Amino acid sequence: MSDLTIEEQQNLFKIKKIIDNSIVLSNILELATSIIIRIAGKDIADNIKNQSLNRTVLSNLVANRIKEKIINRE
Amino acid sequence: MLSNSSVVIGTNLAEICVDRNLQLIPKKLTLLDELTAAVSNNLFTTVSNRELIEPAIIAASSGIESERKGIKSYIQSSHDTIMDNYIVDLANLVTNYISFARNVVNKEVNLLKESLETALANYRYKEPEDFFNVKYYKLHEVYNSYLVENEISSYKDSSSKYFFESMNLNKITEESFDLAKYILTGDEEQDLLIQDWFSSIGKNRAISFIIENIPEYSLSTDALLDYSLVNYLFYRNLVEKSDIDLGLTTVQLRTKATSNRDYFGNKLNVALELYRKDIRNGKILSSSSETSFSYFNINPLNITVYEESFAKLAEGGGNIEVLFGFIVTNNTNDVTVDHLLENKEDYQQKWMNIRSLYMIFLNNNRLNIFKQILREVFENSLNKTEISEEEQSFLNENPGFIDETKRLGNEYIDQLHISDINDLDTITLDLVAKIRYRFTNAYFILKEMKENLALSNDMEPLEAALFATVKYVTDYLCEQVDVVRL
Repeated sequence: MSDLTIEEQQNLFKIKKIIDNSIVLSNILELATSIIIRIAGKDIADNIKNQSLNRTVLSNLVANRIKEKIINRE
Repeated sequence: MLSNSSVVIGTNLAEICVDRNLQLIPKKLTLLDELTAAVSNNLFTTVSNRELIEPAIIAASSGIESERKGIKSYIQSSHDTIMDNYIVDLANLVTNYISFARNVVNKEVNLLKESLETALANYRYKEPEDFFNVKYYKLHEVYNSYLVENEISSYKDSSSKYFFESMNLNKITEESFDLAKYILTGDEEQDLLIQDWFSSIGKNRAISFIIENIPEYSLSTDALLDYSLVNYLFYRNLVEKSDIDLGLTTVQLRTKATSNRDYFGNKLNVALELYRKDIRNGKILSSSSETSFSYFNINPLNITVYEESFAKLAEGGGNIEVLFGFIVTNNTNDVTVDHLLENKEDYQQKWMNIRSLYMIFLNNNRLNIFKQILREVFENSLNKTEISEEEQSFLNENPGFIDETKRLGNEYIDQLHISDINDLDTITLDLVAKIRYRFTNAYFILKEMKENLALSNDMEPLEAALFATVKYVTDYLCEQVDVVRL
């Protein structure tokens, strides 16, 4: 028997769901961003790399696309 | 190891998903499934509050840091190993896709567009007004000159009969013979008018009027005037000079030339009378004007409008469309200014109606012609293009590929509408990237680049390529997720 209240159990359940989704989304963000940074250094252009195109900016671009493809699509 | 920024943004998005009752499940045996498992299997602690989610996920994706005798070391997590293995391979793969799209496919798109533009430029669509080749005829000043007024008027009311004497005049076709000079009179003022008139009819036409056996009844009044004048001037000088060796004695030559001079002098007088009568009667079209109108005419109708009569039509509020309306309604050149002015609204309306109907016909025809040209240019591009070794090996493995490409291309061309045909960028991109290179990702990348470039004038193609890549790579990974609504 759990000592947790229903509210606490619901909170834990919600956190578990956030973690599961977050692991998937964090991996998409991490992999996509890493690939793009690597490509940007090779093919896209050095001048772009020199701009404010850091990991956070790229992650946000990827995040916007994830919203379009996964979250807002539903 | 997952970076802090990825996990923070990922967790924020994950919260939104949970709020919307969405559960994200990686598809089995995908790269994302592998990566997700590498983190989930390493998540040992129970997270009880929101603030601890990110640190827990980062920790689960991380390897082990240790320090022994002051030397730090890092043992990779399974997540690190998978990530390291795939990033390089995927980056190389996507780089190749982008390079192929930009350097091979985009080049083909541009080549097809250039060929299409050239082919279209060489083809001229017929506008409604192109049905008529309008020539305005104004009596040249030479016909009011001293020579014509005095010499030609002497043939007026003459009861003499004039006969044409046949002569072999092939000599005047020789390069050395200068007809323009030969017909001059020696009077400077008069000759200036003759020279100006001669240049308006041209040497070849003038010579043909003299040496060819032309049925005079077939000549319109304006042509009869030129025909008679050039012959009159020629024989007038031949009588005076008798300087062309035609195998005749001087007497024979003068006799024949005189006969012909008078024949053409009389003819010119008649032609002038006919012209003046036409103008007096308000006739507006010369008898040579063609009036058999049809949508399907390949050649335009040549019509000669008397400028003097047309001026009267314009003064009365008529215009060329009134005349077009008359021709398409009646198919005859027998019309006067008065008749046109009396019915100008009707004829104007008739032309507008015909014009509108023709525009519908023209637009349908225009689309068909565009499709025909596009089809030819596209098929030529498939046959002529130099192809890379990779493409050649692909074609060898897929022998029916070109035929299928043609079929898909034709299917695409068939469904084009008249509103599509001005957007050559889209058409060529679709045909090349979407259809011909359908076995690649080029269409997605080039289409995204095109849309990005359209958003800002300042954007460089390389920058547009980067944004296209963000979408491409993200989409590739998103496709490895099943989204379940709870």
